Amino acid sequence: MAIPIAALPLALCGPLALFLPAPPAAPPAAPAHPLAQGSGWHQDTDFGFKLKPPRDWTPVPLRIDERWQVLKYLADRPNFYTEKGGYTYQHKPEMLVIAFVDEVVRKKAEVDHKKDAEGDHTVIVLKNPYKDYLDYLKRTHSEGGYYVSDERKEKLNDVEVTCYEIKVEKLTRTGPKRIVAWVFHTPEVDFAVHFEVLENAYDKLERTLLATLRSFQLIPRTSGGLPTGDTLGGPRILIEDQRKLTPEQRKARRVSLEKAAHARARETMPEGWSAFESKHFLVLNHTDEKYARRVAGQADALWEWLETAFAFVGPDEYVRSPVLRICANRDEMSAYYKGSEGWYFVGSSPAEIVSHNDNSGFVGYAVEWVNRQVVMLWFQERDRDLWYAMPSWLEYGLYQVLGTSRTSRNGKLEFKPDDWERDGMRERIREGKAVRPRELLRLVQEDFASGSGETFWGRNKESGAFVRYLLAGPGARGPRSKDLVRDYIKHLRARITEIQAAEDAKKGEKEAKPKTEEEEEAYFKAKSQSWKQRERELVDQAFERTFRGWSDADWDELEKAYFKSVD
Amino acid sequence: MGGILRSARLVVLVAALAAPGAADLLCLKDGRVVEGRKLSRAEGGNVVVHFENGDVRVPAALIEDYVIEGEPPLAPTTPEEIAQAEKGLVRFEGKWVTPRRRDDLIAKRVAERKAELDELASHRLWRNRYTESTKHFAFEHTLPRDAFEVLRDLMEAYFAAFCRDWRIKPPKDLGALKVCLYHDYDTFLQVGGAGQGVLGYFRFVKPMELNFFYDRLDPEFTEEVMFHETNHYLQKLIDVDFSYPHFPGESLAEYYGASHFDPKTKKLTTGLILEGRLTEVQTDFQRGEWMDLEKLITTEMYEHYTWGWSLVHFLMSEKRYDAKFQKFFTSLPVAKGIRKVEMGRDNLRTIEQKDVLGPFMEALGLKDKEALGALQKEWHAYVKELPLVSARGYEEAAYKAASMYPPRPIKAKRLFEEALALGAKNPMTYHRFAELLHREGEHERALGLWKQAIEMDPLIGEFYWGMARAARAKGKKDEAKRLSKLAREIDPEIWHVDLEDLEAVDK
Repeated sequence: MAIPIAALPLALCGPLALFLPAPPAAPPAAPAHPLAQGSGWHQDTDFGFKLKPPRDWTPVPLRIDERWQVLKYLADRPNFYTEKGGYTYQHKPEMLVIAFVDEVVRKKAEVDHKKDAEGDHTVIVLKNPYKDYLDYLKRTHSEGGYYVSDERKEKLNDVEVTCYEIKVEKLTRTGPKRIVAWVFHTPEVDFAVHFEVLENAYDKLERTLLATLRSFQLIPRTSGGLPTGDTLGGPRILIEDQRKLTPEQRKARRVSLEKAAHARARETMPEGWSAFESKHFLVLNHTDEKYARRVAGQADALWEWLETAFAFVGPDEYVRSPVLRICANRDEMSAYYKGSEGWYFVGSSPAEIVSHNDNSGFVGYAVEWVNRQVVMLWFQERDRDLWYAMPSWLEYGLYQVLGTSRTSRNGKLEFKPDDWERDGMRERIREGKAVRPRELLRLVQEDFASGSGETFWGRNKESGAFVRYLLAGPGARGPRSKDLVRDYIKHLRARITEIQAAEDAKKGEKEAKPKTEEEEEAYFKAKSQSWKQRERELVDQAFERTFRGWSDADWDELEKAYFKSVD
Repeated sequence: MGGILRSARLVVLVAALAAPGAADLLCLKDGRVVEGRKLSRAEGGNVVVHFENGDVRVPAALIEDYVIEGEPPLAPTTPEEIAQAEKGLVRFEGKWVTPRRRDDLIAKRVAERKAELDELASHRLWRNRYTESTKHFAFEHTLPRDAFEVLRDLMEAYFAAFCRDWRIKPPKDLGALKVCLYHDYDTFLQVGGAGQGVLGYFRFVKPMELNFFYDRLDPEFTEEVMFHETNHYLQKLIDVDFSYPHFPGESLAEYYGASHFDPKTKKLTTGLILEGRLTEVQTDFQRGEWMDLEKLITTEMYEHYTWGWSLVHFLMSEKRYDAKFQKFFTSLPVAKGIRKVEMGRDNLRTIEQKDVLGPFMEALGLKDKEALGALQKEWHAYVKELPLVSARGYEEAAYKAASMYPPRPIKAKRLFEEALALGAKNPMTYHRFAELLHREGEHERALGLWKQAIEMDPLIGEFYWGMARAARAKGKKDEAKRLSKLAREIDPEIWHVDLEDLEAVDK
């Protein structure tokens, strides 16, 4: 019932977009804050403040790339809200401290156009996304419509304080909430201490929240001191052609990013967390260690499997060792995600996989999520162009099969049938909805994803079932089918290389500019269709090259065996 | 650059209260407030706002009221004034009083007016929102009074007309629908909680609620959104326990979006051309993409707002189909042989999008796919001939041609020219045209258009930023710097990088 504005054309992004994470500035992006915890007080000797968080609340780590939040706590117990005639939701109160350093707030976007040994490139460092607390809230709060319901000035321990009461009432996810935020205006920094609780729980919690707010005090800055516009860094966007770099140069950048991310993750680890290293991951853990080691073992096994099964994909590329963060529960994971920066692997974002213990005995989605992230990271770093160009059937098929894989007791990766996929497939076959693989493999993204949700999820199941058949089912043993996925990927890569070479050859060629409206319309039509045509051509070429020489009888045989394996 | 902002973002101009002229206050008719800047009177009732980087003349036509504190009294000019002045008296409000008495009265009047204007400005905060109820609606809003009254009356009239035209009897226990109206887009997003890109929404579960915003530069657009969103509520009156699938629900709402209500005759005219959507449809078929009718009806898609609107427009405009389409719509909640899906709230049920085709074909008397194909052919032919009719329509088409990839500047220029020839009154039209010309290297003409935009509305920072870039392109660096700073002064929230940054990028 909402009127949307049409989405922007996607023509400028797509499979062959080329971005590379920018290396961190030296020294690493932001200093870790020397924190002292215990005795009920939290002290930060960098920013020079202390306060007493509510008793029994748990500190939540700050995101690796976080630059504004300096402290985060989550209540141990949830509050509940029941809609009239509707559902019951739970919400854990949370506390944030956000620091607005004057010098940083004044900084603007910084654009650095560099020409060095590695080539000509532009780095954009965005240093000042937020002006003050209300601006921060406006840009980061996404859990319902809110307004400032009360605002007053106070003085606490000789510090000017602006006290905000904010009501979150419309389109809330888990019920109406209240935000109480006090902004302490100190000479060089504005500290916003922010609580968000369910409205119906506010009266019960008010004393606790006010006690923390009133406990805020300034203390001497005895450690590294305030971050400045230069030391704080900021999201860095590097614009250049990745292919111009050598694998060694790319590796050097990734190693640098990896080191910075690991160091920052360890430095900002709150009390109660532990860290260990597995073969490919730095694991930060806030649940029982046995579970964490099992998840890490699973992720390592999947990594190894990818290295073996797809050894030919970007063989010279370095894949960053990610931080694998395992939160105690879903609430903690959600609180961790709530930050001021993006959280994708692209750009300068750290390689980090965040999950939690969902107490599902290792079969739930928490582990599947880790698997899927490992697949995405591995492919993106080995060959980003290939990953973005993968047709939907292959991308979703890999996610489904590798996502649901689990290690056995002896550490071997197993691909047991997934109930959701198998039952769904059987239903689709019964209802005559299942498409034949020779049709599935020809679908472009628009055809794969369009239609009802049922169609989309149905195609997910079909992709999973077919990729499973080829990689882990009877197809993995058949002489004609055992290498089909690998062959397909090789052909896809070959076609991408040809397209890139053709585009490189055309670089510098001036396109004739339309001179009349008619010419312009024709050019518009051709360009508008070109992206779809390119995808169509890529899918068709990869298919034709992989299945060259296949007769209808060959397909019949494969499809018969495939459907039999599902039924 | 080139990103066109929702104009309503650029509204409050607040500077440090310590600045000279801190007590001066200017309120515009559309609800904007300028404070913290020195003001002075100019000829013709205009007011000049003195910014650090330039003076801005605000036309009287835009001004609701203003206060200039400490303004020196006018010198005596008539013989009577000169004679009384010699006795130490001055005229104030028709009486001869001492200068001290006059100053006291002026100070009192200024304080009173300032309090009134402060009150007006404070109502822009949602916590101080106005509330008002009519027969069918309970309004909460932050709009200027005049703008609100137009919408309030329009909505009541719309309610009555729709019920009459569709023979609907609203349930007696329905109560008044809560309607939240915001004075700008940012406030709508923040308080209404809608995602970026959403223009209005109707909460169709209890407590039902309607939310949209007032676009001060494009009141017609505000009405479009109101007609659309209110239509969702009116659709519910057909069967309060039924939620219409995306098609035909959104498409009919769009059809009603292009309506006009004459307050004198109380007549609601529907079925006008929704030019914004038409331009989207035109862009699609100019790209060679014609919508398949079966796909449109059976698939959830954004195009229900565009191609779906055009289909409803076609069916409602054709005598052969309008009654059949209305029957299809009103009988959909009770369509036989179609599985109803429970929605888990308020006893609501709906039908899946893929199941809409059957009732559609039955009501329209389409026996098979061939008949459906024939209808599609008729519809496409109809759509191809739908004309743009207003300056606003041409402007939207021009903007689309200029901004979509790949841009079509030749076409966009022609369409902008036609919009101007038809008397475009929206300064954003001039601004967008100027942006296009600037991109095409026609800086002199762009500069002229930006000046025209500023004459229409001199308090939009974006226009000065445009002029700054044009000045820079013409080599006038100092002027460019001054204008870019003035843009920031006028709109502190302007998101663009500064001119210095732009130069750094170009190095």
